[in-house]
Amino acid sequence: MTGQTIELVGVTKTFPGADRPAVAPLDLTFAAGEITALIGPSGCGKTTTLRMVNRLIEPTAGAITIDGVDVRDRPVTELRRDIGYVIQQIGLFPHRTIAQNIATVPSLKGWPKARIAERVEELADLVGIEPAMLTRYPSELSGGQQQRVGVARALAADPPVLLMDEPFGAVDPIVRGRLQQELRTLQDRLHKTIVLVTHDLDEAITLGDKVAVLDVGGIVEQFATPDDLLAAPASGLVADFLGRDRSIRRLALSTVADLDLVPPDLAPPEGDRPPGDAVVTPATTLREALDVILTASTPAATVVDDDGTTIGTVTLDAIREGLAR
Amino acid sequence: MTRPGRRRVVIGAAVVVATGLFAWWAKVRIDGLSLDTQSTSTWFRWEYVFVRERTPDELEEMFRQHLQLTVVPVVAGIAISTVLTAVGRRVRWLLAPIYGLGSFLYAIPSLALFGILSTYQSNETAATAALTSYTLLIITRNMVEGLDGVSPAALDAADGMGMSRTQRLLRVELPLAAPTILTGVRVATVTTVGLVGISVVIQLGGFAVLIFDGYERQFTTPLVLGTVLSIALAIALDLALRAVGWFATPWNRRTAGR
Ligand SMILES: Nc1ncnc2c1ncn2[C@@H]1O[C@H](COP(=O)(O)OP(=O)(O)OP(=O)(O)O)[C@@H](O)[C@H]1O
Ligand SMILES: [Mg+2]
Repeated sequence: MTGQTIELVGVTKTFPGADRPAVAPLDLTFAAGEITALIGPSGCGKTTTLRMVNRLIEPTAGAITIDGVDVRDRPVTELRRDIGYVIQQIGLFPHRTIAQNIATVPSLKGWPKARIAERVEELADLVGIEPAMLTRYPSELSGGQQQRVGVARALAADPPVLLMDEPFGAVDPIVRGRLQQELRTLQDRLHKTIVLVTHDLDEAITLGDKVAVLDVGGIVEQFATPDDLLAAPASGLVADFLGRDRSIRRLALSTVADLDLVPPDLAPPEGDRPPGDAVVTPATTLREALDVILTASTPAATVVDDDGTTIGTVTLDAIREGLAR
Repeated sequence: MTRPGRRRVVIGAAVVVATGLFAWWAKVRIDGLSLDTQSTSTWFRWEYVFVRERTPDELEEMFRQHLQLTVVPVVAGIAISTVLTAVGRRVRWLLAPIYGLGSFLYAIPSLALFGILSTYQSNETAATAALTSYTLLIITRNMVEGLDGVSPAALDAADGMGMSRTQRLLRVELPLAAPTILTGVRVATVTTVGLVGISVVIQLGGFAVLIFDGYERQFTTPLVLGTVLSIALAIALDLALRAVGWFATPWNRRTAGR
């Protein structure tokens, strides 16, 4: 099932005994079929916001609708079975096999056994879990494998909406990068509405179609596409949060194909020709292209397409102009 | 089950097998002996077991009584502890008084408890009630600890996946608390097998009847026999409950030693 729009209108949460709200009146729209990343300092209310969507926390005021239906208008268990949830600490059931863990929601929904078994295999394949692992218990899996299972479990009943709370927090950067890549690929096929809570700016930027930067108290500082966010931070706080290298990060969002290349026949004179090793492809990000140029210590890199034909060169100036657009 | 736990199962099984072999060997040696032939030993007369006509019937009756006075109180204890646990986990401040009552019961001399109860009830009911009261503390405490110990992440996942309260209890909390609860039941069972002996003062006692009889008559054979059988019953029940745990919690078994 493809995504449905989630709308938060004036949503507030004040925990009992707290003197100020954890989440201030919040108006946010998580667009159908998009990944929205929630990012901000620790304690700013990311998890609280996420858990109000599936009613693990009840808002003090305001309303949340999914596809136009108020979340309070549906029985809470039914609502939650239609929302995929990946919790911060993975939270696999230690006493159930991987297959049983993935089958949690389908079996709560009373699917026939044969259909569940089929679905489990399909999901294992989707998230890259070998069939042999399905009969194991969670403690027999690595952290990265457990996170995959957590994602598979959330996707099991094909919910239109997915809530992910730091889904790749517990793995090393290399595995995290791979899992992020896989989630992006998955999303390009499934088009769910995904709300992704993260601490990691790179994760928010590479995965999010939109990024919401929150400040303590659940205040939205900026809600924008990653590129707009990096190009024009709305406040000093956002700029601080993005760090001094936000232009470098922004380079990662565009590829060589986005630039106006210098065609081969207009290539620079002989002496300025990039040596053979400064080669990029149209799919190379500008960040990587910059790195290639700096590493080879040449003014430009040769752009070669999939067939190996030279289609132009990319220069430092071209990269700078790319950012200015 | 932990590694030492598994080793104990193996040792226990070895003890059972060795006892069986020894009994068989003794029986072979003793076959053909009669009451008036020479005794095999001064402190243990095998003919008391294998030749004396009334012994098998008496042992069977004692075994039945000992088993009943163990199983009924433990089962009743599980039922009452379930209620106490449900109440105590909902109203947390009641837990302290519940545990307090449980430990206070141990403070009453068991002889007095058996005696007082038997003035109001039949001996069997009195013994069952007294023995039940001793199981409450350990079983309730392990139930509460087991359920409290379920990882918050698993509970959060259960809620987030859309389980109802009952589904969460049956599918997540109870299975994960099962090893701890079962440990409580095991300890309560083994303790009860020993405590049954005291009910000899109200004409019950299971195998302890033999111990008491042997003591009174300064005749070691029934004394030793009663003691060995009582211990054997405790070990057998302990092993049986361990086996239940082993089969009921496969996820624990595979990650043993972690
Ligand atoms: N159950 C609760 N009771 C009381 N206060 C709470 C509760 N849950 C969260 N809070 C408070 O609400 C604020 C927001 O918490 P929340 O968990 O949403 O932060 P977060 O943005 O997810 O932080 P982190 O990045 O550290 O996970 C914090 O100040 C926290 O102390
Ligand atoms: Mg959080």
